[in-house]
Amino acid sequence: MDKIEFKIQELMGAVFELPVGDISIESSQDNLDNWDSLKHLDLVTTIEEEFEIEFPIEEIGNLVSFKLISFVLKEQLQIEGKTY
Amino acid sequence: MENLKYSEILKENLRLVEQVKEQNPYLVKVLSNITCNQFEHILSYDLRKSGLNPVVSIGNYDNIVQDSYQCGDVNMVVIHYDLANIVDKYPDFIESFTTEQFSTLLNTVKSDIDLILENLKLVPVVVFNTFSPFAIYQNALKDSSIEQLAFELNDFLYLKKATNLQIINVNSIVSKIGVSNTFDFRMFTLSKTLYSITFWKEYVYNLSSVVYRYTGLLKKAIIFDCDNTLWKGVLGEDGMEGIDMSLLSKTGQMYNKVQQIAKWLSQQGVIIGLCSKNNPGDVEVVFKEHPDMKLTKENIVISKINWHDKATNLREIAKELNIGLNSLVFIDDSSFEINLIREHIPEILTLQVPSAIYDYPNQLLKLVNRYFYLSGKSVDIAKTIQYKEQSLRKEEKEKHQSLEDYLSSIEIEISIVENDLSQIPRISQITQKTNQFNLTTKRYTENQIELFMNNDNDRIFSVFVKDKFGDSGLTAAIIVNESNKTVNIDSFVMSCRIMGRNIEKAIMNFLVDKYMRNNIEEITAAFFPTIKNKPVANFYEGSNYKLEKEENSNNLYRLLVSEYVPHKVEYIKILS
Repeated sequence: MDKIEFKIQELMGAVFELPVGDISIESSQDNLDNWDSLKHLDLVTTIEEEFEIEFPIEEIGNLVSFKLISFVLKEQLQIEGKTY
Repeated sequence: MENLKYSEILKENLRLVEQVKEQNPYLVKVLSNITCNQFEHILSYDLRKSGLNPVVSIGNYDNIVQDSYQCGDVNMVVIHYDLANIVDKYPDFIESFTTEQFSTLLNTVKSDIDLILENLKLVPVVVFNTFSPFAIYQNALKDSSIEQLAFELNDFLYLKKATNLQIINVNSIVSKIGVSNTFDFRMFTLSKTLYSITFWKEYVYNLSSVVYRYTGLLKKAIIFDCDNTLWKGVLGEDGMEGIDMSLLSKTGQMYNKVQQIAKWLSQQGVIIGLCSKNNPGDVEVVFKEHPDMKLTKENIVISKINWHDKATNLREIAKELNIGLNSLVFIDDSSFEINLIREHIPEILTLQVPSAIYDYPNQLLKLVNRYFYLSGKSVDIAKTIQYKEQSLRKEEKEKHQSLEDYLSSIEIEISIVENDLSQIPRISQITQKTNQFNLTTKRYTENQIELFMNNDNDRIFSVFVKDKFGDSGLTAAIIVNESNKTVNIDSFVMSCRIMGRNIEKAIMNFLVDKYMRNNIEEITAAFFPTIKNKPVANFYEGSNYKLEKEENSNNLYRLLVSEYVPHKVEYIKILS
């Protein structure tokens, strides 16, 4: 995991109320029981707050796994010309 | 809290919940027509931080009136009745409303407020927000209908006499943080989450002072240091002439303002005291003779002017006043003294005079707003005009006292369509997204939905709902498999937006009636429990279905059509 992914891991732990160790690159809506629509909202909020970016509305529904979050987030950082 | 990120608040919450779990729970119920789970976390954090053990639960989405019937045992109900979502339900822009449409809308919301407050009259605290026009039409230059609507509703709220009613002025929060920091229209579009984290933090700051009022966490006394706290300068060094609290001086006027506030507070019943390292005689002379002093000896209830350490002095103050240390606020300019108290008596709330002195009066007022309850409001508004209007609406209110009466007043109309090919995407979506009212939680793609519709033995009913507030569109779907004598309900899904209106009961009446006419003898159905769908666990039992068997905690039901007793929901009109 790189620096960005470690941060994603930490934020996912906070949102899903799990020890950071329980979150891995393989984590997704399919294997995290309490990843419901409200937690999804929390997750998007915390990521945007931490990385100071704003996902386009059409991407928000796609952020359904660790890998996708990492991918879309990095892309978004690049679009907005930000580094982390 | 202002400086914490939302993720930090979530993390802190997990830690704090352990710390306060021995305390009596303080039950808060939030009734709302917008999504506000982030508010739940932020409020929990703030109250836990104050040592309370809040248990915050959120009512069903957009079920404010319905849920207000079920708030018997909570300590506080918070209502977010947002205009954004009320106005959103209309197909026309509010500014184009006719006078008649406008007054219907106004009176509907007013009678809802009446009904809600009536239902909650035994709850110790009910918090209502003022209505705000900004989410709907923020750039209106001339008088707009939405402003008029908000204005009239707020007027109505403020004239309410319910003693348990507390009103939080949302507009003052919006004006503090700005419209663009208040709303998140992107999230509103996606999930009806209207407000930003910044807003909720500010809102909670206001709300928790309401909670403190009812949980004994309010402060009772403010103890001021003197030098560089009530005036600029050090009395022992600068002398009576050297200290400054003059309205004519740039710095001095800030101290003067603080004294003005302290004087006002003392008139409001707040205990004002002094704790200062000085010669007592010197301070007395200032109070008696300095021309710029606002505070007088009469305003000071207790005073410790000596050379002892301030922790000892403050302990004595609490003892002499016979109040808890946690009822004290201590204000001093010195970091040494402030840190000493924070370390030795953490129960005492401290405020260090800010180095940006122009901010001093504001910071004092902010603290006062949060930790003190000032009862002696002298403003008494003329009410005669409203009395007449109020008695009119009372008649309206008496018309619907039970939930059933209320539901019949909102003119619910559902239409049920079979195998509607044009709705395939929406039906698939509702099976994918719905968690609460979803009996089997089977997720179907558009392709699968289409297959159901094309298969002779399967059928999909789509349910469209509207009421006098507006059209909710396709909000429920039922998928059935049919055979000669039996029908099986594969899925029964309904959007949480329309829960609490007994629409599911009307649908069940419709289904059974339809199949009875088709000579079907029995209907089978299943409930697969998930974390989310507990609210509907008893749906089939409640509709005369018999539990046939339990398989891996899944319940399988059977209904003999001839034994069905229709639900009494005549007020829901069914079109098909």
